[in-house]
Amino acid sequence: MKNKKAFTLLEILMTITMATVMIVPVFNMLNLGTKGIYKSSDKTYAILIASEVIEIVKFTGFDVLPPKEEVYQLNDIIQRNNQPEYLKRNLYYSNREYEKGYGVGVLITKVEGQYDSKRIGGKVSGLRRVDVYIQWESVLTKESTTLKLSTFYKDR
Amino acid sequence: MKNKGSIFYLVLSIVTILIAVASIVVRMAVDDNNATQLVYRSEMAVHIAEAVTEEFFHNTEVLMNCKECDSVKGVYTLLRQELTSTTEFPIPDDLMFNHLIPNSVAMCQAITGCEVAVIARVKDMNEININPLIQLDGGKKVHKKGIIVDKREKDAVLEIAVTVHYQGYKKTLIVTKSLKVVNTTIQPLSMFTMFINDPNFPYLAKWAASQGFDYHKDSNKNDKEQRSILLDHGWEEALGTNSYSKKSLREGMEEHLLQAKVPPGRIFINSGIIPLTNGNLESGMLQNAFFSAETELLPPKSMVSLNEGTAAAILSMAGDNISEEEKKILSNSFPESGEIHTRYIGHGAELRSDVTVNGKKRKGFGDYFQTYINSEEWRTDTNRKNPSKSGLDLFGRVQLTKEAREKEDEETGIFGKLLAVKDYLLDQFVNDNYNVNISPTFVYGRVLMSYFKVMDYKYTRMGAFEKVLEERKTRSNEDEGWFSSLWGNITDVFKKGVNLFKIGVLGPGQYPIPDLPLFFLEEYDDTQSYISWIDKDKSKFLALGWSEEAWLNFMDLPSSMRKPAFFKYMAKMRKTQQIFFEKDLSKEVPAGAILAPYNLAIGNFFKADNYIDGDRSKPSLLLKIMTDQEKGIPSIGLKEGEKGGSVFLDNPQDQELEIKWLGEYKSIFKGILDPNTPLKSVNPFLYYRKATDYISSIYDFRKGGSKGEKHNVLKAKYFDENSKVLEMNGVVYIVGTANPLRFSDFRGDKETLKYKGKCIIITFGDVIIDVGLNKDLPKQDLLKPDFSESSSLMTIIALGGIKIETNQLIQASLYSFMYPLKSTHMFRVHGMIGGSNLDLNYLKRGGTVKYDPSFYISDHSAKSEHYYWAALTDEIKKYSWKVDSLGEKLKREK
Repeated sequence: MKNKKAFTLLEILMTITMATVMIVPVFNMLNLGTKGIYKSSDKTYAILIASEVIEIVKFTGFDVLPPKEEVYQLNDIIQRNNQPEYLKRNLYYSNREYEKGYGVGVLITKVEGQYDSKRIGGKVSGLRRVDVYIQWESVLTKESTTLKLSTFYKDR
Repeated sequence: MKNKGSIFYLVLSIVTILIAVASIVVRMAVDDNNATQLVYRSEMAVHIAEAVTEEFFHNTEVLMNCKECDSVKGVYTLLRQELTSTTEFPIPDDLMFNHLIPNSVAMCQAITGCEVAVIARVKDMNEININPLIQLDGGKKVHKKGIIVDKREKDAVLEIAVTVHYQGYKKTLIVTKSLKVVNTTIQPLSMFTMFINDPNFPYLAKWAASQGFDYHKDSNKNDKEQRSILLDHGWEEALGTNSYSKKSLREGMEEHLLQAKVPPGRIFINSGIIPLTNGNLESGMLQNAFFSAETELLPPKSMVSLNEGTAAAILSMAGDNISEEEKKILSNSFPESGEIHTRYIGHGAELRSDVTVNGKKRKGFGDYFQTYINSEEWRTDTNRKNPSKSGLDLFGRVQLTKEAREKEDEETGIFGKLLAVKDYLLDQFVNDNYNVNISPTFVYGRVLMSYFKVMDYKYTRMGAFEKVLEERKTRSNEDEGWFSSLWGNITDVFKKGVNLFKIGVLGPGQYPIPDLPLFFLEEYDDTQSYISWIDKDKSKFLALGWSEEAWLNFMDLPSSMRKPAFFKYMAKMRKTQQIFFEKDLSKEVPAGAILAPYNLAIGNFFKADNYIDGDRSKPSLLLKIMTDQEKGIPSIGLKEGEKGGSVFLDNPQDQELEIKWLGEYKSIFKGILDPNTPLKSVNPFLYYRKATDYISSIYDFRKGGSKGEKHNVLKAKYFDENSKVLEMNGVVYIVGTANPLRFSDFRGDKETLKYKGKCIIITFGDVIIDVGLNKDLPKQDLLKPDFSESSSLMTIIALGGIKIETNQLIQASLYSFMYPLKSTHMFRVHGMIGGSNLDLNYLKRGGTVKYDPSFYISDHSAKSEHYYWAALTDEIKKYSWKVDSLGEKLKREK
């Protein structure tokens, strides 16, 4: 009893209760924030992947990646790609990164233009549309997300 | 109590900190999310905008060269119009959204919250002046005069500003690309453009012809080849067939050639003598028609070794029987060194087609070449020696006189006169159906008059021509006036000296002038020599073995030709000319063949009836219309209002002659290049400014894979692997010289390479043509010049020289600069060959060049939109994401 400085059980219980009540949302907030950051990070990475794949497709010959109804997998593109070796290596290493958690699908379709029967100075005319789909599963939530970037491109 | 609650505070503090941390984390997450969203929207906007620009440039590039698409909004035509003060034009919105970017806009619209606004225009249109810049005294830089600027060609910029709104995010992408509109043909810049290199004289001396008529059949009754008749460029067009069977040749002659569809001019370098007649009447007629209409003959350099001694020998041979005037003519005709100078004078289209003189449409120069002005001016020794004024320089007939320019008009101007004269003569001489022109082959230099031309006199047994003969006879019998007097005034070479020819009227059929034996002629003394043979002399000729028909034909000659003097003179001519060749030439010349120096041939003595009944107060119609001093003679090519000055370009040969003739000599390169610009200063590589595609290296080894194989950039860009056709348009400029441009690389085999499109390939390196190069046309059209929109043209200019390693047909215009053209095969070129120098030692004998007039620029191409190619170069002049206000600025400007 002399030790009046000690906490009472009630105090402790109240404090723990308060702390619990207060910390839970805080941790939820932290968790939410962390998830948000992860999510953004994943999406940013997905965007980067999509952009990179679009660039790769744009610089891949029309004959290498002809339009088709099914999507191309990244491995397809790597195997078909006629880019210089160093670029292929980049793509390969990138793919190893991507395949950890990202699925890449590339849909190539022909854009039917008004003048597509013509040739331009020897170059095969015709325009193509590339839709790059990036799908990934959140590490935290296991939630599946898909992102798409699209553009047109010409044969180089 | 003091300590009481401390744990609470502690916890509270911790919780607060945690809350703060959590808040920060949440905030970071939100920010991160926002940033990610921004990145995403930005990427979306970028790619949508790029999709718009890709579709825009793609469709615009096609539209620019698609005439049938031109109904859309006239971009095709707008780009091909001559430059005006306007330097830009907008791309209309409806064209933009309905035709140029419909798909990309649709893609955007399919995305929630996406909108696109676009503004585009062609701007900064400027001429393409490829002439080098020179600095004036004041420091100002101006383009040196040289290649005349083509006002249809343009250097411009195509600009597009795309504003993309995506989920509240807005950005403007501005992309500009270099746009060029260029002509896909090139002016002839060469000292030579075509030649037939078949100098084997004995071979030719047999009068063999690969095309044309045989003069006799061999023992197996097969047609004997007559290789010396070389129907070169243009004959396919003229004859309407590329088949030279006897039948088609005859039909072609009748149906096409005689209707003035003669082939264009050409230059023979090192070609052998071509037989003039061969004794066979029918084949002689046709062959002579060819020759008389188009062939100029050059003694090959290797066979001509004329020096003063030889010249003296010829004169000595001629002896005192020829006049002093004739001696002068002969001496002037001797090659001084055996050198042969030939030069391009045009392929014929510009000669045959209408021209504008002093602002008025005229018939082409073709008419001009038949005509020699009946003026004392041409009879002076000085002018006669002047290559530009002699009978050999057909352009030289065009005298630049002030009066002429001022007073030229349609009917009474020189063109009108010439046409009138020609029509009149032809009407009198043949009939209205014939309009046979002399092809403007141009040979000059020190050989000048040492080339030969057939003597021609019209005669035919073909049904279509019998009427002509009848008419002529009737006319001759009924009217001894004009017609007779015309012939009657053929120069009496023994008394009056030589008058240069005035009008070279050539006939549909050719009758070899009979070769009367010397003993027969010697029976006539000088006095008798000037008396025409008439009917009562018939028995003498029949005694020589002549047929009745031959006698009738002979009697159809003008009376002035039916004189012993004339035949004596011709005998002398034959004797004289033979020394130009080989001693045994006479053995090789078939009986009846007549060779005569061009300017001494019968046509040259064709003299107009100057005065009616010799009354000088009564000038003949011919004289009147030809020598109307009030009207004078106009210049050709001067624009309305232009005064005087040389309108022709000098080249080294011109310069040499200019020095010799002190300004009296006139070059013929007018209209192509600016006056007074030496041809040697024209560098075709200045054409880089017209390049629509730059190739730094033909092979890209980086793309060659791990094995380092060569990746042919040209092939990748322009060769269609499916159709195996090279499709190329515009001006392709190759800088790299490490590897030659080898045409077999495209197909990868030795098959003929076909090509489509109109293009000029300019390379600093060398070119090896080791496979045929054909227009992608049906076979039957291969040899026909094609001026249509769908026609294909390829011009190859190589600084490193061109080497031909195939005998397959090459349909292209070839310019071999710095290094002479080389060949390992008897090549066949259908197009043009040009170069800065020519060395026959590098050329295998037997190569032929047939001219294709569709390669030429100044006539058809300059007038036809489809010769111009509009291209967006790969060069992106501007790529801006930054400032949206640029788009607003564009909008405001619009």
